[in-house]
Amino acid sequence: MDQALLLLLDATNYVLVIILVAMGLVIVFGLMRVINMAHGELFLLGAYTLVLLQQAGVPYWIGLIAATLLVGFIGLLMEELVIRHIYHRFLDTILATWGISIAIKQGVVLLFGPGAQSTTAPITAQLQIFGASYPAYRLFIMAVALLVVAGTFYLFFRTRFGLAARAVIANRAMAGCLGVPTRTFDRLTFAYGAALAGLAGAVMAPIMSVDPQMGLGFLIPAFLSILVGGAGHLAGPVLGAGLIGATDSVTAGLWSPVMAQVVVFAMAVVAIRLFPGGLMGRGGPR
Amino acid sequence: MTLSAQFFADRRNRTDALIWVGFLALPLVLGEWEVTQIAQYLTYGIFAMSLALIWGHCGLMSFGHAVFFGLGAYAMSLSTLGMLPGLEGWTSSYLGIALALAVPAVFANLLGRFLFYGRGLQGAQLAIVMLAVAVIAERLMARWPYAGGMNGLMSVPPVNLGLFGADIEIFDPLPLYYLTLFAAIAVYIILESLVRSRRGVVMRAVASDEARTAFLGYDTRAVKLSAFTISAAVAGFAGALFVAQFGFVSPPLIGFGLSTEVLIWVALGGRHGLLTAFLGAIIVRLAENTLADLLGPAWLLGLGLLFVLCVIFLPRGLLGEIYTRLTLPRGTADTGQR
Amino acid sequence: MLRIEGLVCGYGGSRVLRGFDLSVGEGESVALLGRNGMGKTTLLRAVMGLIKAKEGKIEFGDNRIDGAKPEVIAKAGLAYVPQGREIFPDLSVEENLLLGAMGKNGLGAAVPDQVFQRFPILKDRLNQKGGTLSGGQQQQLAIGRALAGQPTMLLLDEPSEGLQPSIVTEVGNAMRREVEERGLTLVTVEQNVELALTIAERCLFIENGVLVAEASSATLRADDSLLHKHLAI
Repeated sequence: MDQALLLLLDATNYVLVIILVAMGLVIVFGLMRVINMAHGELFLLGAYTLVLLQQAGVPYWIGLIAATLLVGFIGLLMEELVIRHIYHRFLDTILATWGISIAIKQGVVLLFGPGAQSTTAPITAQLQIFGASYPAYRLFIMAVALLVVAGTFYLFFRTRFGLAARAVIANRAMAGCLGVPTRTFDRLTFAYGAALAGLAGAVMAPIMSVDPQMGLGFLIPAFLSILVGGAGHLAGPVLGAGLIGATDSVTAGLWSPVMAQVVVFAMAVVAIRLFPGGLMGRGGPR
Repeated sequence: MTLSAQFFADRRNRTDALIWVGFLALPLVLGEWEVTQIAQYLTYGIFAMSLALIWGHCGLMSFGHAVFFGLGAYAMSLSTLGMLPGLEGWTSSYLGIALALAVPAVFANLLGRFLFYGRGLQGAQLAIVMLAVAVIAERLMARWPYAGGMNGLMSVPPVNLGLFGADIEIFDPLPLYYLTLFAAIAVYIILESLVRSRRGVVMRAVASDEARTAFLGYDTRAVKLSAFTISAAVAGFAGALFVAQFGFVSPPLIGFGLSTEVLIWVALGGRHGLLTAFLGAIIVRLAENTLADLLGPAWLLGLGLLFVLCVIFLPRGLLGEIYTRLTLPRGTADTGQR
Repeated sequence: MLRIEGLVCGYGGSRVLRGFDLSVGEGESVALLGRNGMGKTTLLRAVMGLIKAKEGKIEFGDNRIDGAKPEVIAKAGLAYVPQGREIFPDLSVEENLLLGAMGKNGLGAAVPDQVFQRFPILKDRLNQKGGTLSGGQQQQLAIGRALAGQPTMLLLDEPSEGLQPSIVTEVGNAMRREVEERGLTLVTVEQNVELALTIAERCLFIENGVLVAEASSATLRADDSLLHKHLAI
């Protein structure tokens, strides 16, 4: 019983973490038609910012906010320096952001070395859930993920900011003719997606080995979630992450973590083939 | 005009021929060690040509092309090490090469059938799906004790051209270099004639607008499938040549890392030309060789940034840009548009 | 209000407008007439900043607007209803209208009542998606969206396109009232001569990218030789 409960909690935790990472990705992918291969490295930068600030004696919570803002700002720079030139060159966005990811990763290696860093969680308590003991910090992570999903839905579908952002994405020339400052919304939307990656990285840092390779491990499942679920709607990746995360956790628990990844990736490839627009899809981007 | 005069009247042909003559002459000016190094990079160059074929000419970008290179490398290793079930005694390089061509080709054909037919995948999805395939392949190889698992397979023998028990091992630097160079030239001639044929025109039509090409009555999926299959066979061939020189095959050869490296070589060199992609691979590897020790991690940082700049501002690639200028027929202005 | 001098622009290397001059006074309503491909739509797109002028200048009020971005031009008080309407099909009627209001007047702006007075049907369809409206309703939505920003001048491209005659009359009357009651300055590009004569006091004829003739609507009603000459009807 305990075992099953723990498995369930771990699966839920993993699904929510993927959703947390995927949320920033899906904003730039689904809304801006940009595949951001550097998303994993923005995640990495969030984690390293937290490490650096904690080592400097800054409290965790301030580090968390600082990491989010800093990575958001880096996203702003990325948009201005690179992405702006390649909107509508879809495959090139993959390549250029891949180049950025290499550069960021190597920059981190240069500054911090290739080794792993560690941070401490602000909450170390264990909670008793139906007799099973579970770290409270993991529950905190789940709460953050849920908040991010809800907040993003609210921002993009319930506020006027979101309305304008969606209008720019739907018909940029017309939105401009109505007086919407299109470039500002490009920058802000991309920066928001980046900031979410930074937040995810900082939130995850205390329970991970913070090293230059940590980004890729989350990037691929997050991408597959979007492709499986569909990028046409923000709910797509939530569904995709649910499927991918659950399959991964269950296979890992019953078989082995490596085989879990193989099974998940193979499943995702089949799902993407059968539903090219995603399970929720109205056709993916071209 | 004689046939050869006709051939050399085209500036593209003249430039290409000159470059190959340059490679033939290289051992005259380089030492043994450099020649061995470049012989190895020639195999990467062949690999790069295989990617340029599908990416530059057919619009299929792949984040997992090393899968085919790795399959070729493993096929070659397993057969020359005498590890094929039932064929333990027959350790022929010819068998190895044949399998290194056939196994990736069959795999690519099946994968292509699955991916391109029915509701075909679009460009970005294919790129990411291939990425997933590469990661799966690397993980599986690392867990497969028969193929050496994580450690891979050691002491893969060099190419042996001998037949019927005679041994002609190609091991010394010069024969090795020229064998690999002739292989590269052969691949170049085969692929270049494909690219210049009518089939090549249809491939480029698919790359520029698949739907419109289909409206004209072409079976675009068959075009993509055949290009994908041929490319995989060439990549496998490159893998086989590589492992016969390197003597060692391990999971990273089939994985994500090498897949992205080849993308960078081809993008920097220029994906629209086979020769520019080939040179891109060799030059980046040479630069890495000299600069990586000097600069440490800063080398990759610089390469990443250079790659970004190249994608944004020089979609034809660094060498592709130069090559286009060099080979432009006299009197035509370069409009800078493709 | 709007002054265009020697405007040259086009797509790529071509020149669609070749030295176009135009002056529209405040509160005036003019119609641009001409056959297909003569540069009418190009003119509106150039004024709106959607294509760059190669030569010449465009002044709106006291400011030069050639070279400015569409959003800056919109904020200065120019609104645009493009050919084909280009409403946001996935957004609700209310959201479409809100975009018109807040694009020009800031995120807090509301849709002025005037829009619903002019086009009452929009009030009944507030929560419906723009794409589900009929053609006539979509045209009203597109004009309503432009009016929601309370512009001083409106550029209207082919409002009658694809609409049944009764709706064309309705739209024409609404625009006429907007000009007369609220002092809107209006430039309409139109193929439908009857609608053009209803909306505008003055008609301009454009041919091969230059202004070739102009006449008041009253004159044209009395003597249609200009119409025959330039529109081949």
